[in-house]
Amino acid sequence: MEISEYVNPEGLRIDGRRRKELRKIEIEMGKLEQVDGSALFVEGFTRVMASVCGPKEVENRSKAVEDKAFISVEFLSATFSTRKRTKMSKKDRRVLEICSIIRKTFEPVLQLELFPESEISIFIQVLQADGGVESACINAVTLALIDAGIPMIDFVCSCTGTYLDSFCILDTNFIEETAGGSILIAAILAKSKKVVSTQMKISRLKMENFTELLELVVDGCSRIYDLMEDATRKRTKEQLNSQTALIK
Amino acid sequence: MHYSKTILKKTKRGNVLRVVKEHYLRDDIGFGSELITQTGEYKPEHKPLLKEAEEYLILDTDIIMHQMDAIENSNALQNVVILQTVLDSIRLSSINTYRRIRKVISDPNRHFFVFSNEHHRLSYVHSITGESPFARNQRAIRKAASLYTNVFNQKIKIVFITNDLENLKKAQDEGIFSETIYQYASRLKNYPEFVDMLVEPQKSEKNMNIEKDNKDNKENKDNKENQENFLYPQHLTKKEIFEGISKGKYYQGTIHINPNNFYEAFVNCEGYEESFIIQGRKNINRAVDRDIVAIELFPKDQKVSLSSKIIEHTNEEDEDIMIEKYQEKEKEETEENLNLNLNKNQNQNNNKNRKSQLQSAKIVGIIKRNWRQYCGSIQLDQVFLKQGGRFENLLFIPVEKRIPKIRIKTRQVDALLNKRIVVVIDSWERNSRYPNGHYIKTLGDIGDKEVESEVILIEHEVPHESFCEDVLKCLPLEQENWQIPQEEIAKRKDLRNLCIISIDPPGCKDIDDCLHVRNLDNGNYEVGVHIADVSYFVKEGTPIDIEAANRSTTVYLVDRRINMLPPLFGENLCSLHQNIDRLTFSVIWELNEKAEIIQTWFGKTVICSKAALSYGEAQLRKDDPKMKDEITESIRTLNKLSKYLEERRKEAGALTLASPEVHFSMDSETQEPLDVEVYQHKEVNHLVEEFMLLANISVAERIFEYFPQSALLRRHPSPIKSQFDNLLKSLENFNLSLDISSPKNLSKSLDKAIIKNNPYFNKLLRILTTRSMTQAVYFASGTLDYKDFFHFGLAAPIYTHFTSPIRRYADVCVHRLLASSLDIEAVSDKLTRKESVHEICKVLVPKYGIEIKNQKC
Amino acid sequence: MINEPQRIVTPGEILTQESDFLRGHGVSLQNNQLTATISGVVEKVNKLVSVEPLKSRYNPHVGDIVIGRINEVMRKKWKVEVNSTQNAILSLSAIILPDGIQRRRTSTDEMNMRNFYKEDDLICAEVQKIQWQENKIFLHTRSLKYGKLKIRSIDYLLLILGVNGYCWISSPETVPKIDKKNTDKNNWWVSTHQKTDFEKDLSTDPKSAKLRIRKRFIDDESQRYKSFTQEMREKIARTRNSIFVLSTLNMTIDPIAIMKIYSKSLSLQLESKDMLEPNNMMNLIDAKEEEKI
Repeated sequence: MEISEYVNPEGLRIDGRRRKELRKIEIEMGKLEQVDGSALFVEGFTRVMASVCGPKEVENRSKAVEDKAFISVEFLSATFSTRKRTKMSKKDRRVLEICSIIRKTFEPVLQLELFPESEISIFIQVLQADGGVESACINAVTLALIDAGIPMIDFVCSCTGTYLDSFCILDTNFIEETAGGSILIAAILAKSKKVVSTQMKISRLKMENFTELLELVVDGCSRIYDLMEDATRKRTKEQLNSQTALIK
Repeated sequence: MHYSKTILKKTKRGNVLRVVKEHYLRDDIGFGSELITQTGEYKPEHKPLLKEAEEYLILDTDIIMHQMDAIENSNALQNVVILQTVLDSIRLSSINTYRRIRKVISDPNRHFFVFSNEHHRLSYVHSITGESPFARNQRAIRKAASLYTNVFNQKIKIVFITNDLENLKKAQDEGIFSETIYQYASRLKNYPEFVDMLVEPQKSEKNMNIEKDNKDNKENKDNKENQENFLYPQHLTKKEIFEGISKGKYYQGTIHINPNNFYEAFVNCEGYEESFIIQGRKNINRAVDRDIVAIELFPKDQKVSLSSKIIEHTNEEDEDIMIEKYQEKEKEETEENLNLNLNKNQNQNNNKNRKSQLQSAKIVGIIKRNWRQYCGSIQLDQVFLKQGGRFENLLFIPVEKRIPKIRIKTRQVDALLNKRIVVVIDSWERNSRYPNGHYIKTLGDIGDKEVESEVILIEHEVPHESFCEDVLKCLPLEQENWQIPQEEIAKRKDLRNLCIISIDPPGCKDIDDCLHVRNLDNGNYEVGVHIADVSYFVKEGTPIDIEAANRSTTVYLVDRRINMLPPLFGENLCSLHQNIDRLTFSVIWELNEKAEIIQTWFGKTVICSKAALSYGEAQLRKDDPKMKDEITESIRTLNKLSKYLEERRKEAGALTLASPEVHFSMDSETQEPLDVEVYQHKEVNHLVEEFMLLANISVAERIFEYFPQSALLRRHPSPIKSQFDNLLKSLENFNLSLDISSPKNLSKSLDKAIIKNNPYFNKLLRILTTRSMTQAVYFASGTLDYKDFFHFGLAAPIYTHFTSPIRRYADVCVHRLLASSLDIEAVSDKLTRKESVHEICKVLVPKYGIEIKNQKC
Repeated sequence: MINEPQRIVTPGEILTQESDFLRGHGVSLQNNQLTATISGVVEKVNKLVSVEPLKSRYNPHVGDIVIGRINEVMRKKWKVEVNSTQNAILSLSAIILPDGIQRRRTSTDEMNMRNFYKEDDLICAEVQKIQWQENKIFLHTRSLKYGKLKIRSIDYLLLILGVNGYCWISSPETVPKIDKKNTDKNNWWVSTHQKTDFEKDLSTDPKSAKLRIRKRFIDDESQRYKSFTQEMREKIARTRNSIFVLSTLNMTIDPIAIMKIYSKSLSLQLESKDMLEPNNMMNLIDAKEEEKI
């Protein structure tokens, strides 16, 4: 039987990272032209595209909320995104779960009361899945919402960590995520460092290990925030420059 | 933190899967020597390679794979760089070797350093299309070696050691100073034994293939000559074996050599009740005891009865004669059988004969060798004393009779004569009667008591080294003066004022259980079982925990004990001595008049034992009507209650089985054993046992409730009919029989099986029954159905081990699970996943052949 | 003021420590500190702090001229999609009746609402008033320059740049026998953004819009193609793509800029279909910059 070493005694993980290192992150905003806002969030080999339409008139009247906007989320995982080509139906439990996580994460952050009886629809497409998909989705949605110019009180940044073989590991890839450790997905408000949502998979963890893991993940989130903030600022600057190009 | 921007794709095509993995290259990996300092290096203080060293060695994969014993046991190799590529390929091919090399690496005196070349920006190599992974790895190793050569430039000599001549040549061409391990060993002056430990160079695969081709050709031409050249038939390749197995042509099984007859072996195949018999040296074909082999059956009618002859190792010349004789006899026997077959009148007789016959087979290939280290001595008459310094071919006789003699080479004959030495097998060529091996270490003089004890321990693979430093560091600093911290007492229920007593065998040092009883106002009784709280001292995942898990039990020898925990814990801090405050884990019941459980309480407590009694003392107190003190009254009440428990258990069908327990009386001064006596069971023994069983069952229910998947339980499977065949057949002679369908029936039939004028007969029968039963085993609750949890011997639907954490590791795990179920201390995921608990259970199987005290059912 | 570097903020960023500022768009009060809620440029007018987004939905102001599409015909009003957070409302009383007489709307008018504007008609209108609380926009077309957009018989290209980001390019050719129902088919949709004049592509519901247009193409394809000369089509396409180039590159869309791109593409002898290739786009822009210098 092959026993895998997820962190070898030299302190390297299978892919060569150290315990607390993130994967390579790339961010592209506003790539899609047909929607109000869009963002591509690439973390290692995990690749998620999020797009946002709205706020707009609610399509399905019965869902309208009188005093604030309603968030609808659609999640789609490309059949080629995972190792096995599987098609997830829209009513798949995982799909519904992730949609509800996204909705619950963003409801308190967005200033929905500014848009009564409107709808903000979020569309998430996973192009490639290599661990940390939920986190990448949250990050991509944050960026897409910012790109769409929808007011939100703070950045929501998310990161995944696992407690595996008595090590806390940050930013898990597919192998680490399926290794059977306790997985923690946390989303925080970047500026206030408030944890807005956490999710545990295969739990039962010592309290002290949980605290350690949470600290690690929160630290990961704030590092991801730096990158996201940077990308947003860069994007805004680009827009501004081209806008003023003619005025010059 | 440097990530390289390069992301490389590793593809692995199994079925239709194409796995793409990320691979980061780094700049922060150091070279492990103080001579080179880089900026931004990770862990810059970790530099095990000495700067004073003359040279740094880089070992190739094959060196570590084949010369592990030499690396492990000799200090000749120091300042060694182990490459990650090498480690990875070792881990894939042998997890055992991997663990051993890791152990060597972690030894600070050896100055081994792991260089993560696969993730170093300068030493990573891409695989070229069409290149085999092996060739790619070799290239990676050479690249890393040349990187080292360049980096250390003239400062220190880098030596690349490989036995692969092709690789050696390529490395030399690339400007790396390279040599074989033999060349290196010959340069070494200070370590003469190092050469002995090396495994002989093996014929490379290519040669083997050529040989095979030649052989095939020859076989066609001259079959006879060939058979003379090769003593043994060729083994099939793995591929052929697996094809054969899937076609049903061959069978896979574990071989067991008959200890009384070296030319006879049995193979147990899964799914077959009867084992297959293999007779003769050629048929056994170089299989060593406990190897996993592939066998081919002889035609069905060739059934063979077991030979009752005892054949031991003899000198080479005699052997053939013996075999011939043996084979002749065998022939006669078979012929006889055939005659019988023909004779229809004797049909009945024949059938009877057949029962003890087994299907014979021959070994066609070895699936997995299970070679280990063997203890033994040099065969004396082989030694012709010569001037030292030269290699001598010697024969080694293992202590274990199942193991063949081993041919070893040594330069230090004088030093090895009349010594117990340890040897391993390297290979067994077709043209060699005996396997080739090499020397590992000397234990001491033959016949010395200490040495022979160690031989026994090694032969049974009992870890018996004294506790290593890491483990001892886990002990409290105050050593025996350790006091229970006040805050710990505050957290626990204080039972120090209760009259708590312990009853154990005389001279028992590791007392892990105590009892108390008191009358409640409502007429019921409160009975408490208090078990030493080992899990308070042994925290999960610490070195002491890992070591204890590895040892799994305390092993009792005549003159010594191989402790599972360091004596400071086992005999002092955890042991519940008289009049000392101790931490315990308690189960307290409220029992009614008939000893039925009204309610159960679990929790951590602190106690102070009022009396540590021996069985004898307790029995005396109980029987003495004059004694009326609290302790004695407690014993009487407990005894009364235990009678109810015992009765109920028997009613349910618990077996009173017997295993011969002997007790050595020791000379109090010299610790020499003086006499052997059969252990006497007293009434109070049962008393303690009953309450321990009750505690175990209560705990089992509790942890199963909280950890339905991962509770560590113990079950005793119902006996297998066939294993009782012999016993039942013998009983027919007495007109008796046993009903093994349920514990109750078995118990009843055992009670009936009495011969009037032979009082020992029933006891003997019980011993034999015990022997015929399957062993009780640990398991994770998630791996089986609830109905399979049944403990046959105790007739309990669910059972575990809770009461002896000092001497059994399983109990420690159970303690942790129980603590977690009470929200006292959480457990790691190791104990909450059924897979990992299942792994733990596998390790906990009692070591082969060792009788473990108190390991009843 | 102009030389002062514009401060870019991202959501969650604290705008100022002083507390006596007033809160404008894109600003929220978190822990007693003024915090940005969108990413954009800070603007301070006296004591009012606001963050101007560089991209958002149409934020209406009274008096804006917008182009919208009729989404729904309701009782006494139309719902008009104008690229804002809510559909705008055009009430029956806010239009000019065909007879041009100012009078009370009768129930007959109510019955005839579809004759005035029906679903998917494109209209040009002005923002009449905004009810901020309910997030409602009211439009009116009480002027001859507003109303249904259709092909007119004038010899120049008609271009309406709606402040809400939608543009209208129309053919100047006289089309014989225009079926009134199908007038708007010869037109291209481009959306640009109003106010900051930033571009934002397509209407709210691209899927359904495309479907409907496709269907009508088939209905009277033959007639439609007959009514245009190759030359005219070429012009329209070139104009459309000029706007598209500007919008793709986040540049301000105004008539001058459009004209510049248009003429540059001619001088570079680019075919209109090639204008949208990234390389060519950059060439067109560079050219524009050079001209400036």
